Amino acid sequence: MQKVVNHRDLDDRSLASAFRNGDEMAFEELVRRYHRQVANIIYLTLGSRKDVEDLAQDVFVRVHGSLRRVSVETTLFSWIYRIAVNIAIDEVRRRKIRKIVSMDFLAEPGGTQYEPRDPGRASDRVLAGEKREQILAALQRLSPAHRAALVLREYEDLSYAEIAETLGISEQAVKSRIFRAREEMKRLLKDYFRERT
Amino acid sequence: MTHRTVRRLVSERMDGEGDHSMDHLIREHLECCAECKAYEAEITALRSELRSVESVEPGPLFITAVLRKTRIAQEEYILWSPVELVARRFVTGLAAAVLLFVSLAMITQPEEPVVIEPYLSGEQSDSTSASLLAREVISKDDLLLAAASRR
Repeated sequence: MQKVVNHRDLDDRSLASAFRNGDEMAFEELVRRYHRQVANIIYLTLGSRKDVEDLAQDVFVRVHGSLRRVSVETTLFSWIYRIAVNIAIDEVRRRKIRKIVSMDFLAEPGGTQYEPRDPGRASDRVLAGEKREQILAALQRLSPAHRAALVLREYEDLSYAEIAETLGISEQAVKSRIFRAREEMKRLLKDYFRERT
Repeated sequence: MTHRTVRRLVSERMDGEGDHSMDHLIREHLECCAECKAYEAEITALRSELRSVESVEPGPLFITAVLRKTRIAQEEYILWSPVELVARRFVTGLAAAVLLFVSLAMITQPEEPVVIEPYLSGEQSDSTSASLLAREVISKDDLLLAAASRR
C-alpha cells in the first residue's frame, strides 16, 4: 500500500527533494507556503499592485523550471526570495518605475486583484491608504539595492545572515544597506512624521 | 564613539543583531546625547510605520494559475528542448568547423620566402633599407645580417 505523504508536515528541503523525484504536490505546497511572501516582496519593491500577481507567478514558474536542474546551495526560501527580488528589480528597471510611480498610485485604488488582510472601516481605509502611499512612495525613491534589503528586513523579518544569503552579499553590506536605507527613509518621511506629531 | 557609530549600532540592535559587548557604551551615549536619543525614537517610529503597511494577499486562484503556467512551461520545454539541443549542437559544430577551417588556412598558407639575393648583391630591396642606407643609419653588413637572420 502506498504511503500517504502530508506535504504540509515536510520541511523545505524534503519538499524540494520530493519535487525532484517527480512529486508535483510538493511543488504545490512550496507555492502555498511562499506565495504571500513572494507577492509582498514584489509589491513593496515595485510600489504598485499592478502586475504583482503575474510576476509572482513568474517567480514560481522559474522555481519550477530550475529546482530540478540546479542544486540549491542556500536555504530554499532565500533562493526563492532571491528570484523574487531579481524579477522585481528587473521589472523596476524595465519600466523605469520611479518616473511613473505617482501615476500608478492615481490609477490604483480601483480594480486590484488584492484585498487588504483586514479592510476595517472606510475612514480607516482612507487613512491606511494615504499612509501606505506615502511610505511606498518613499520606498520607491530608495535605490533597488537598499530597498530590497529593507523590505526583506522589515516585511519578511529575515535576519541579516538570511538577507545576505538572499541577496548574495556579505552581512556587513547588509548592515550598511539597512542603515543607509533607514536614514534615507527618515529623511524622505520627515514631513509625514511632522504631520503625525 | 562617534554619533554615526552609535546610530549604526542602534539600528543593528533594533534588529536584534550585532554583539552586545558595547551595549553599555551605547546606553551611556544615549543618556547624554539628545540627538542620538531622538534618532533612536525616530527609527523606532519609522520601523513601526513600515511594518504597519498592509501586505497583499494573492487571489484565491493564484496557486491554480501557477500550476497551469508551470504545466505550459513544461510542455514547451519538452516540445522545444530537442530542437534547442539540435540547434545548440549545430551552432557549436558550425563554430568548430569555422575555427578549424581558419586554422588550417593559416597553417597551409605558403609563407613568402625571404629573398636575400638582392641584399647579397648590394641592391637595395625596399624603400626602408634604401632610406636607412642613404642616411647611413645602417651599414650594408648589418642589413645583410638582418636579412639572413629573418627566418
